[in-house]
Amino acid sequence: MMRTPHALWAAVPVLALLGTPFLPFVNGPHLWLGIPSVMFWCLLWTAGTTVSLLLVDRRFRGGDDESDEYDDTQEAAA
Amino acid sequence: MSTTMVITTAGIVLVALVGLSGRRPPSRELGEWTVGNRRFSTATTWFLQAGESFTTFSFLGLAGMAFSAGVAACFALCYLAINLVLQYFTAPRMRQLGLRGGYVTQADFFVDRYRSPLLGRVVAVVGAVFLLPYLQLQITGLGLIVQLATGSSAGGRLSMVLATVLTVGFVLWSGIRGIARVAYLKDALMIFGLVALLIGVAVTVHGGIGGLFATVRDTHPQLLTLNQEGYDATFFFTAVLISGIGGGLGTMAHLWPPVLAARSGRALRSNAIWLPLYQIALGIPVIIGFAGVLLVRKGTAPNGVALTLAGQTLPGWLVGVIAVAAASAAMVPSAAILVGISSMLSRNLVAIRSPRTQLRVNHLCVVVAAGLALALGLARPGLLSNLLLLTYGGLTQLAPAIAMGLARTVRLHAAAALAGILAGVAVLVWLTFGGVDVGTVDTGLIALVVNIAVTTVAEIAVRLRRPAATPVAPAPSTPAPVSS
Repeated sequence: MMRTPHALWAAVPVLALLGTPFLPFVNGPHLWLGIPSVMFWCLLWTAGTTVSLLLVDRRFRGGDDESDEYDDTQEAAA
Repeated sequence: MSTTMVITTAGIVLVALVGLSGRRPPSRELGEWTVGNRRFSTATTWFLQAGESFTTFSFLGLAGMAFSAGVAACFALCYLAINLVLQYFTAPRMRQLGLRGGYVTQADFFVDRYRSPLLGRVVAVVGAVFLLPYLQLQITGLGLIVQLATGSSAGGRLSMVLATVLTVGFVLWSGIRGIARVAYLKDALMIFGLVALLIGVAVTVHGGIGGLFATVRDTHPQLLTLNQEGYDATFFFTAVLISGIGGGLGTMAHLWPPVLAARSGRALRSNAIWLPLYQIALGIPVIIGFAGVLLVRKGTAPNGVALTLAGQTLPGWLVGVIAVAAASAAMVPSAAILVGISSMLSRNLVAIRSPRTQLRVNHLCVVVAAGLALALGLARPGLLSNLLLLTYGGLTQLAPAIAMGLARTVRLHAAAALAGILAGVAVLVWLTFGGVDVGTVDTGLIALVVNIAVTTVAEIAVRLRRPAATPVAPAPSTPAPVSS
């Protein structure tokens, strides 16, 4: 598994989603672009999860994960 | 028989036929039946993994929750996204260990990493016990779907029996390959059904979706906040946290076969990256639940809102198609759960050496588990959301041991892991059935805290008693045939 600090990018959407009920500007009877602010926030950070994981993945494109090396070995042997 | 009923019944049979067509002989041992040849493509793994996001809970439970508790229903969007963040890191590692150790089940992981068949047996029992309500949830939901779509309670009960029998049939015949094939059809139907329902609602409500929410803000502003009785910030935070941890660390046994069957770790990471965009579709049932606030009469059962609205806004044949979509959303997870439960019971609880006998016992477990869930579904259909949370809470008690087992060196003794799991489950059962008032805190999270504390104390006690004992450090295992 990955161990470098770049993996911390993945924590951003997790914290944003867990923080939903504690953010006054989100948790209220507001509408953003016509939909409830809480729902908008959750949908935004669901999409943000993809962006954050893409960011993490790009940093690791070199293939420093040992599972990839193992996969490559298996592929070559097959 | 109405048009809706004919389409629904034909659709359920079609789903089963697609599942039956997935068989690739020979399937004479449990490994092939459960994880294929471990070379499933990214796309196949995608639909198997997505199956967990789009279930009867997505169709009925989410819309029902939005109808009664408003934006609190968005907790599902949050925990599913957190699931995928964790799975990005954990799933490739699980697959890698599975390939090296020849895992077929979740319990195999515990047996191998902790060198403890006893721990494997306990995990198999805990997994089966807590997944059974989840299986029942799918079957009950399917009956409710057909009942609401057709207006016939007898039709609903009959469809529960029919779908269960057909699901058992294609699971026994095709194993995970059948589930994979049905998963493609199910997702196509689900997306079509949800979009059709959304269009129906948007056309019916004055001012469209924007007008819907503006009216809700003016008439029911509390539904737009997480400050409601029973659905407050504490509920939201603890439910998201426990469900996020549970799914992300693979605590549900039926999530393991798709991971173990994947061709590569890269495929699993790719799915974890892109599946959140797919899960945005779960916003549709939430919108439909809000529409129910304005369009469905008060007193309607929350879980019936989505299909009641379908009946009010769409023609009968389209309601039938939506019912088939929702029914397939019950059949695919049911099939996966049956594979998860039966493979653990036959491989880890009942020690059978002969691969052929193991497969036969496994098939018997499929029939018994499905029969039991069907009987419970017919006799005691419960509220969908609560059952799901109970399942997540119970299975999340496996999370600490899984997290420690994924490390390169396992530094936790099996005895400590076992003590933690049993303590967590005991506390959860006490909180759930003992009438203990914990407010809106998720009981699974309280149990998990006790679990971690007991695990820590037990590990310290084990090390003090055996100071010379080194932590469990499984030697790198060589790839083993899946039938081993």
